[in-house]
Amino acid sequence: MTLANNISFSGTDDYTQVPVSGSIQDLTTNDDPSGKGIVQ
Amino acid sequence: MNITAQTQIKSSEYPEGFLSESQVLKIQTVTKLSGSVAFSSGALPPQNGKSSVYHVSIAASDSTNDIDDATVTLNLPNSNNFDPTTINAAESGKVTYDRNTRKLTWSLGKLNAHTGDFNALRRLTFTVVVNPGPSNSGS
Repeated sequence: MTLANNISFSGTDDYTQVPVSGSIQDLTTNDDPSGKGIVQ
Repeated sequence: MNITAQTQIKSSEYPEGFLSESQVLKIQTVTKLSGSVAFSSGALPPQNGKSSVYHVSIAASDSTNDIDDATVTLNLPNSNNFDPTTINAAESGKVTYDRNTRKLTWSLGKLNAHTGDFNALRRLTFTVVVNPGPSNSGS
């Protein structure tokens, strides 16, 4: 089950003045280290 | 970060060589975003009709240059009653949350060079409560 999605970063490199951006995968209950994240 | 490069070409006929002008390369910084989840309390595994509480952590790091106007955005699609008071104190004043769109905006401002190595990692933590319904089974 999704806890957080559309996770993205943006900003501007202060030295080169080039925009920087990035993103990561959704965070879900299945990312919990217990391995018991699937909804029953 | 700057890298200055200069080329010298030599030959057997001209052993003194030809030296080029210096070239300055501006190196763009590298940023990294990471996230993690940890179960806190409630039903484990999550169950239809029961609440489960998870801690969410988002971390931002940066390499050689400062980043201006650094912003992280994310959505909390299954958190009906997200409580912004669970945000860590160090970053809570930099976070806004729109309950209608469930969009969270973390305005880091300046992300200093070498955040995550010479400078401390910037980290946002908060708690999410989920209440799965039948449509969430198996997800």
